[in-house]
Amino acid sequence: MRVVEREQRRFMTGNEVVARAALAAGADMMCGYPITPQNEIMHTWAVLAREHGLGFLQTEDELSAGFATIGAVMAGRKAFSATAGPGNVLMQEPISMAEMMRIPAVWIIQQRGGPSTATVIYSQQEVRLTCLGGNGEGHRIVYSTSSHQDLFDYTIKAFSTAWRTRFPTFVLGDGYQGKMLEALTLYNPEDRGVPLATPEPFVGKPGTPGLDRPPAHFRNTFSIEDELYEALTRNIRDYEEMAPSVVEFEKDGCEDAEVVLVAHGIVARAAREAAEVLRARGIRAGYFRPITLRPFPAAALADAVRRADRLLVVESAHGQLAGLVREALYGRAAVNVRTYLRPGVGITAEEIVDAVEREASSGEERHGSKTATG
Amino acid sequence: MSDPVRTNRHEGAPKTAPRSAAPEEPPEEPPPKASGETQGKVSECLPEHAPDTAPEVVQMRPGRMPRSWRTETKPHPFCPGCGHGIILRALGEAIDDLGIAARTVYGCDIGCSLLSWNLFNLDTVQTHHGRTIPVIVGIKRARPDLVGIAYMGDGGAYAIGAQHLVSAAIRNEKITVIVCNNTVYAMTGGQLAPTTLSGQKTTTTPYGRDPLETGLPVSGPELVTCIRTEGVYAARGTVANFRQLKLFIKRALENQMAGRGLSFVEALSTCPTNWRTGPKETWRFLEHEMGKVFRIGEFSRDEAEGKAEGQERREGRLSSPAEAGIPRGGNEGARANH
Ligand SMILES: Cc1ncc(C[n+]2csc(CCOP(=O)(O)OP(=O)(O)O)c2C)c(N)n1
Ligand code: SF4
Repeated sequence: MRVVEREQRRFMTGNEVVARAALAAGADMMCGYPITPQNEIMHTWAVLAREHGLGFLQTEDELSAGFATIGAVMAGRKAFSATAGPGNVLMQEPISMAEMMRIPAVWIIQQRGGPSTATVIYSQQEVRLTCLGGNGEGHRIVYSTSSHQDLFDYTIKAFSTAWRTRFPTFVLGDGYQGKMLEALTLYNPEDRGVPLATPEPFVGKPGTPGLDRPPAHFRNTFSIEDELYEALTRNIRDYEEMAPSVVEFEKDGCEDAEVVLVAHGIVARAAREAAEVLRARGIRAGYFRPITLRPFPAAALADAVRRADRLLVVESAHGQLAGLVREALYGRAAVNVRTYLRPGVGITAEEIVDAVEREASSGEERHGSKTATG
Repeated sequence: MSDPVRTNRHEGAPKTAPRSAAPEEPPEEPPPKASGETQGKVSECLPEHAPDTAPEVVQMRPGRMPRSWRTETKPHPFCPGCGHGIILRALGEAIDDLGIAARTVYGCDIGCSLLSWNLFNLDTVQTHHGRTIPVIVGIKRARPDLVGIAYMGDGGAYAIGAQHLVSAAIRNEKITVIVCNNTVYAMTGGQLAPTTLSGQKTTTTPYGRDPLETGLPVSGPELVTCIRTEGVYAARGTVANFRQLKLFIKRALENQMAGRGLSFVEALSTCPTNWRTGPKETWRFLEHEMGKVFRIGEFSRDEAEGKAEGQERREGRLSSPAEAGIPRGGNEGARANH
């Protein structure tokens, strides 16, 4: 679906950007349940759906939204859903089914404060849930965005990745990104040669099952351990095989850095700015931003911190990114992992600069612990 | 009515090896039936209250599996004496009669219904406990030309997934929901279900269900018709009356195919394994105990064609032009070539 006549600059909220990106990606159905701060994705989609003759269903809860999304995908639609916070918790059940049955679908998560109802505003506390939620192995793909341009680009990309890999794919934003107005460039993916996936129906294909073709039987229950193990082994192999083609990150000034600031999402913008300020003040700071939180750019991060004395993980959560970082670096790099953690609240570049300078002057660990190395 | 007496030795057959206890049983023929009786006599087990319909349309076909069943996966894995196989046979024959196998998508819940994930020669999706309705809703909204069936246990439909049933009725989703009411959570070991009878012993009501503590049995079709009747088909049948049950299921499918609204059939069923009953007692409980509490019959049947047209048009907005062009309704599904 062409979203603009031709490429153009626009000023709009992140939630509206997401809905327009989904349209640009060829999405043709959304099922959702209201929750702040993602509501305007649904509001915008409800209008777009009417204008373009696409599917939209407001369900009775996020369980239903997730399962109906899966149903629509199985019937051949490019369907998606959006949620946040407690809705993300409920959404994990259908997502785990998608994970097991390799149903591609896109979920937009606009993080809000947690646990529980907490705030409707902002946090980075849904990293663990989004990357590793459900009762399985976390076979998902998670793009963490940090700008409205990202929201547009990665929402489009998420659809292509989901249908190419057949793993559930997330765009992980937050309330600030969803509600804020910001400038970005809207474009039609086909004008830029961005490949789009063509969905195929999993059920309801032509022909009579059993006569013209075998019936499509999708299950998520296994009677014996070995059967499950076989299915999981296949999924694990596929996940590991596709991971290198999906992993994304961004870095700057790491080559000679004594300290590398590691942040994702909107906090990465503050971290990047902080690194520049610190350089101007004589501290050799670098900046590393994982764009895919799952699969995590472990090798790239290890490479980026090779020369550094320490890295500082900065996040609006109490160690969720730091956990991913420690796991990624364990056995890969000998570097001190320190943290600046502000669960549920925003972080400015000044705060990060202060944190680094305080640490530099005290010369000891203030916020974190040394990672195991080996 | 004749009593299908059978020996008692399958009582409490373990689920892990449900078939091993009855190797002599013809696999394709679901119980209950008299041990050693010819399959042709099964119809004699039917109670007197046969439906008011042309019998040739709804006759059970003794000795033959429904065409929409998948022979490769038989014998089916339900315990001897289980009602699931009878309900699914009625469904299979109804699908055959309507000639809709080519455009039917079957969804089964988690519960003993999950065992039917490969029972049919139909595109099938096994979902989560209680979540079959939303999956079928998603499929149906994406492809209104398909016939979507959600097959669930009473725990799935009335407890963990009750909100989905209620909302499907509120939105009048054009799907068919079939619920197996066996008064227990069968798959997990015979616990209290929303349908458990007052005083009935289950593994979590070892002294009998006390209505003061855990309420009275829920009535599914009545619940649905409380929410709405316009466009809705709602009925309760029983595995004790196969022809009638099949008729109800057929009408439920036709209601969906006409685009009228939600189609809902509850089937009173048996679970000798968890009831710990022999054939005689199983039958008595089904016919007399359950029959006293749950009224058999049709609760809502809306045949107004004009209204269905309008609903179809509104629904058509959700489909692509190609899909919207596919005609629906009535017996049009007979085009499927068997
Ligand atoms: C979310 C969730 N909770 C609990 C279960 C465990 N569970 C599996 S089947 C079942 C009950 C099935 O009972 P019912 O729906 O009545 O179907 P039946 O087995 O009687 O046919 C339960 C509680 C589950 N699979 N998922
Ligand atoms: S419902 Fe009861 S009889 Fe039927 S398969 Fe399950 S445990 Fe066995």
